[in-house]
Amino acid sequence: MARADSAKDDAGDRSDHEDHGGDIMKITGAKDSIDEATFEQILEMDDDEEEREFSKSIVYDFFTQAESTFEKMDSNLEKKDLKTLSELGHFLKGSSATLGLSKVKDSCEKIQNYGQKKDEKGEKDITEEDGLKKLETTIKQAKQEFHDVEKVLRKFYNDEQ
Amino acid sequence: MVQSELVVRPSGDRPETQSSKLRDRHAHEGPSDHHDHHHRHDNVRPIESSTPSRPPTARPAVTLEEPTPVHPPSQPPPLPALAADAADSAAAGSDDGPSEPPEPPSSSRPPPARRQSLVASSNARAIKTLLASDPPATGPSTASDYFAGAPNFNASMLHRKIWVKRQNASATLVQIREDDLVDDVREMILKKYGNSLGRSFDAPDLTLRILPRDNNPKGKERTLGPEEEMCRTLDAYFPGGQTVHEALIIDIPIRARTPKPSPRVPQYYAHHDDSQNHVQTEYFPLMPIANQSPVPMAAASRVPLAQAPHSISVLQTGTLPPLPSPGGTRRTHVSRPKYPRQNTISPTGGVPQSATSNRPSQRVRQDSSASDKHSASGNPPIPTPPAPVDPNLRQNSTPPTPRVSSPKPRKERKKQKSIDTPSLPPGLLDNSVPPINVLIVEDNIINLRVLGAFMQRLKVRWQRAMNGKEAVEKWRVGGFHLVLMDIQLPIMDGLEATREIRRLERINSIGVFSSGSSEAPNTRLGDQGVDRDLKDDDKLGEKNLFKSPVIIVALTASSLQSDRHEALAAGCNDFLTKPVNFVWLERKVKEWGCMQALIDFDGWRRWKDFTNASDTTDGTSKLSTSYSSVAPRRGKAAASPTSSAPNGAGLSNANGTATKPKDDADKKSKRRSMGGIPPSLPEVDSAASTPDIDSGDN
Repeated sequence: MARADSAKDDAGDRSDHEDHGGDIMKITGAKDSIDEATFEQILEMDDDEEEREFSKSIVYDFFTQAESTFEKMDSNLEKKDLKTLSELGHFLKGSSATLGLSKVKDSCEKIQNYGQKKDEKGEKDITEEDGLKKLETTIKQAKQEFHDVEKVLRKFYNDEQ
Repeated sequence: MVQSELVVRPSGDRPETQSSKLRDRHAHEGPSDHHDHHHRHDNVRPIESSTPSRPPTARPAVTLEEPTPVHPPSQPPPLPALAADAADSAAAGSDDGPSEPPEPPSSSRPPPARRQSLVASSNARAIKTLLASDPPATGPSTASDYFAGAPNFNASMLHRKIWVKRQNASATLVQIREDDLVDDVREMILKKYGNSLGRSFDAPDLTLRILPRDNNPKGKERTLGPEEEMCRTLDAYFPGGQTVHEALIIDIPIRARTPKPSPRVPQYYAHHDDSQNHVQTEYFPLMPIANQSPVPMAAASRVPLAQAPHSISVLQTGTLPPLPSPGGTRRTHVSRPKYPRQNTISPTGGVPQSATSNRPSQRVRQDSSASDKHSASGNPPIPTPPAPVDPNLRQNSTPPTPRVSSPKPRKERKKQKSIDTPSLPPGLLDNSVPPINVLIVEDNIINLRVLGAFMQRLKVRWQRAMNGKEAVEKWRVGGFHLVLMDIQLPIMDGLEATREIRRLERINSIGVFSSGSSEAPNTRLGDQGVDRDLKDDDKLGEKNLFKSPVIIVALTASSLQSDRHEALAAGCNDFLTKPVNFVWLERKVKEWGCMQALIDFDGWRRWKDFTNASDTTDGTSKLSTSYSSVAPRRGKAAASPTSSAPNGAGLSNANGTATKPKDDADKKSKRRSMGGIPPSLPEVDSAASTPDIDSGDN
C-alpha cells in the first residue's frame, strides 16, 4: 500500500467525504473485509490510477454479479435446492476471492459447504435440515458482508450514492 | 609419381596406417628384397595366407594407381598358392607401372578389397623403399639422404601430413603436398582451423614457427618464410620424422581493430568482430544485432588463451588453467580445438540468454557453453572484452550477464537487473512471456476478465471457455499451449475436461515423443492399441497444432491437498490456488509457456516472422528483453527469439486480438480499460496475426 500511497499523494485533491488518498485500506471497514494484496493486484492493472477504469469496472461488475447471485440464492433457499445453493456459493466465492473480498468469500465457502450438507469447513456431514438452517443465516450474513464491502469499494471509487 | 599419389590417397586420412605400413613393409621387404631366399619367403607366407584379404588388396592397388592400365582388370582364377608372390609382384608392378609389363597374377586377384587402402599404400610404400635403394627397414638414416625421410613421406612423395598447432593448443595434422611451400601450408591450416582462424584471417596473415629439437645444430626456433619448402625444412629439422611434439606453431597476427580494446587482449577483437558478423549473417539473418554479445564473449574467451594463457584464462574461466602444452599429452583431443573445453568449464547457470541464438551451428559445444556462461550471474565474472558490445544490444540480450571484470558495462548491468527482477509489482506487467496461446476456462465472468486482463498485460494471446465442454471444444481446434482450468465448472467440470483432453491426446498420439510428460499420468501407456482406430469424433484436426500435450494448470479455489491431488491425477500439470496470485501466475505462464514455445518452435517461428512483418508499433523493448531472457533457457529457443522492437510490436499486436470477454454494450468503457487493448480490433485480426494458431472461433 505504501506504493499506492505515494502514487496518490499528489492527486489527493478529492471530493471525498473520507479522504482515503487512494488507499483503500484507509477506508473504515476495509481492513476486515478486503485482502489487501489480492485487491492490490487488481488495482495494479489499472492504466490510470486516477480513473482506475479497469478495476472499477471489475468491481462494479462484481456488485452486479453478487446482487443477482444473492437473488438466486434466495429463490433456491425457498426451493431448498441445496445443490444449486452450493454451486452459487462456489460461484460467488470465486469472484469474491479474486477481488480479495475475504469476508464475502469465506461466507460463500460456507454456503458451498452447507449446500453439500457438510459443516462449514466441508469436513463433516450435516443433515439437510441443519444445512438449510445454516444456509439461511449464512446467506444473510454474506449479504451483509457484501454490502459492507460494497460501501468501502464505492468510497474508494468515489462513488457514494 | 603419379602412381604413388594414387596409391596413397586411400590411406590419406588414416594416420594409423603408419604402423601397419611398417608391418607390411616388413612382410614385403622380405620376399622382394631377397627373392632367392625361399626360406624367408616361407616365413612370410603364413602371414599372407593368414590375411586372405591381402591378395585382393593388391589388385586395387594396381588398378588404382596404374595410369596406363596395361593389364586387364581381372583374370578370374585366383592363385592361392602364389598369393604372397602375387602380392609382391603386384606391388612391384604398380611401382614400375608403365615401364615394366605387369605380371598377370597381380591383376588376377579376387576382388574383395577389405583392407584395400591400408595395404595398397603400404605396398606402394614398401616398393618405394625397395626401389629407392635398400635402406634397412630399421629406420631413417641421415638427413642428407634424400630417401631417409621416406618413412615420413609415406612413400607417396606427394602427400604428407605434418603436425601443426596453435600456441598452447593441441596439435593437429594437416595434409600437404610434398612440394608445398610454407605458403601453401598456410592455406591448408586455414582450412583446418576453419572457425577460429579461417573466418578472420587470410593465409598470408599466418606465420609458422618451427621449434627444432633440442640437439639440433640449427639452434633455436625460427619463423618459416613463405617461400621455404615445407617438407624439406621439416626433414632437415626433424630427421626421422616430425612427431606430434614437434608441431609447427601457428602464429596469428596481432591486430587491434577494436575501438576500445581492453588492455589485456586488444589484438583479438578483429577476430571476434569478424566471426560474430559472420555468424550472424550466415545463420540467423533475421536476428537483430542486439543479441550478439555471447559470441564476442565466446570468441574473446577462447582467443586470448592462444597467447596470454595465464592471466586471461584464469580470469575468463574462473577456474581453468590453460592447457599447458598440448602436443602428445592430449592425444585424444588432437583434432579438437581447445576452446570448447575452456568454455564448458566456465561458469554456468542463471537465466539463459537470448543471445545464444547467434551460435554458429558447427561449434555446438562451445556455443552452448558460451551461452551458459553468458547467463551466469552469481558465478565468477566473465570478463568480456568490453568494446564491441553495443550497450543497447546488451540490454536486449538480457539480464544476468555478469561482466564484472570489465568496467564498461556496469551501468547496463544495473539496468538489466531491474528488468530482470521478474515479479516485483512495478516490473511485473512489463515482463513478457513467450508467444503462447492460452485458454482460460472459467465460468465466472469476473475471474475471467481479471485473468484475461492479466494475460493481456503479459502479452499473451488467450481465449476463454466458460465450461469444461467448451474448453474441450476450443482445445480441439488446436494451437493452445496452456490451459488455465478452473476446476468447478458447470456442464463439464475442469477435471472431466482435463481427462477428456488427455484422452484425446492419447488416442491421437500427441506428444508420444518426449515433451513435458509430467502430465497425464494416465495417458501414454494406456490403451493406445485399443484405441488405434479412432472414431471420427475423436480425431483431432491438424497435427501441427498439437505439437505436444497441452499444459493444464488447474485453478482450484480450495486449498485442500486432496483436491490438488485429484487435479494432478486427472492430468493437470500444475495448479494455482484462487485467488490467483499474479506473480505466481506469471511464473507459471512463463515456465510452461517457454517449454511449450520450444516444443512448438516452428510454429512459434512462423508466428514471429509474421509478427515481425506486421506493422504494429506498440512494442516496448522491455518486453522483448524479458522475452528473450526467458526463451533461451531451453537452449533451442534461444536460436531466434531476440529481436526487440519487432517482437514487441508483434506481441502486442497479436495480443490485442485475444478474445475479449464479450461484455454488453454498457461495458464498453471497461473494455478500454483492459490493458490497453485496441478497442476496435476486429476478431479477424487474431486469426490473421496468429497464422499458426488460428483457432478461428474467438
